[in-house]
Amino acid sequence: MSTPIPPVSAPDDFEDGVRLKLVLSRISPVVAPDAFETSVLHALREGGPAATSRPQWLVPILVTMAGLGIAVLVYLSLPTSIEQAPRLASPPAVDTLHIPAALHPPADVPRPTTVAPKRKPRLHGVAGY
Amino acid sequence: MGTESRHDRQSTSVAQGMRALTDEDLLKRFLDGDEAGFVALMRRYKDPITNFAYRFLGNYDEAVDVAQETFVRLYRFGNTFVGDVKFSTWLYTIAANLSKSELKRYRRRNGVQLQDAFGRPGDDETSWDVPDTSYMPDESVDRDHISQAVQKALMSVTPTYREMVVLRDVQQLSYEEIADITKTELGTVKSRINRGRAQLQGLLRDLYTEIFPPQDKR
Repeated sequence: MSTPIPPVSAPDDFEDGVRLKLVLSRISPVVAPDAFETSVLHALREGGPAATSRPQWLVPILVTMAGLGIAVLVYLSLPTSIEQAPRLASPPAVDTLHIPAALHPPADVPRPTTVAPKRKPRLHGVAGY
Repeated sequence: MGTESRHDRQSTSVAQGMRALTDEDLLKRFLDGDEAGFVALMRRYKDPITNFAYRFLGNYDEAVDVAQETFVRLYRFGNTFVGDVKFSTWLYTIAANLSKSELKRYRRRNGVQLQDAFGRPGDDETSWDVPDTSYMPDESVDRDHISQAVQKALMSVTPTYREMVVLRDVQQLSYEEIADITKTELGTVKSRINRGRAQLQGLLRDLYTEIFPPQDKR
C-alpha cells in the first residue's frame, strides 16, 4: 500500500503575486532616444566618456591640481641649503684670493655709529584706548 | 542614387547578418576590429538597459546617460570580458553599478539629508539605500496613470530590493543571472526580491482595487 503524495497548495499571497505581475506587465517599456547611438559613437570618437555624463566642473579642478603639482615639484627641486647648491669644479683657495687694498678700511678712521630712530610717543586716552 | 540604394541594401543585409549572431560572436567580431559588432550589440541592448536604468533611477535623462556610459565602457573594456557569465549578465552588471553610483551622486548633489536608524546622518552605504518617497513620476515617459503609479511605488522601495525586483519582474531575468549581476548569494537574491515585492504590494494596494475591482460574492 503506497502512501499518497501530499498535495502542494499555493501560498497565501499567491493572488497578490499574480496581480503584481499583471500590473508590472502593463507598464510601458522605456526605449532609448533616437540619438542614442550617435551620442555614444560621438563620445568615443572624441576619446572621452559619454559627453552627457562628463562632470564639467572636474576640468578646472584637475588643471589647478596639475598646476599646484608642478609648482611643488619646482619648489622641491630648488636647493634648500648651501651644501645642496651647485658647486664649482674646483673652488678657489681662500689664501690665494687677492683682496684689493682699497677695500681694507684704515685702522685710525672711527667707525660710524648707528643712530636708532626716535620712537613715536605712545598715544593715550581715547585715540590710543 | 543607384549607388546609394545599393549601399542601403548592403547595410541592411549586414545588419540582418549581425542579428543572426550571438552576443558573444558579436563581441568577438568587435574585439577583432570590426566596429559593426559593437554597433549591433548597442542596437540589441540599448532599450533594455535604458529601461532597467529608468525603472531603477526614475529619471529618463539620467537613465540614458547611464545606458550610454555602459556602452562606452563596453567599447573600452570589452576585452576584459572573460566569458564566465553570459554577455548580457556582464553588461547588466556594468549598468547596475553605474546606476547605483548615479543614485548616490544624485542624492549627494541634491543634498538629500538622510538619517540612519539611530537618527544620525548615515554613512555612504546606509544613507543611499533609503527609498525616495518624494519622487514625482516623469510624465513625459510614463504617460498613463498605471505606469506612473507603478514607477512612483518602485521609487518608494528600498534601492537594494528595487534593483532586484526590476531585474526580475520588469527585465524578466533569472534568479541566477541576478545573483551574478549583483554579486549576491542566490538565497539572498530570493529573499530580497520577496521583500521588495512585499513593499510593492503594500504600495500598490489601491491600484489593485482600481484595476481588479472586487467581485460580488453572491
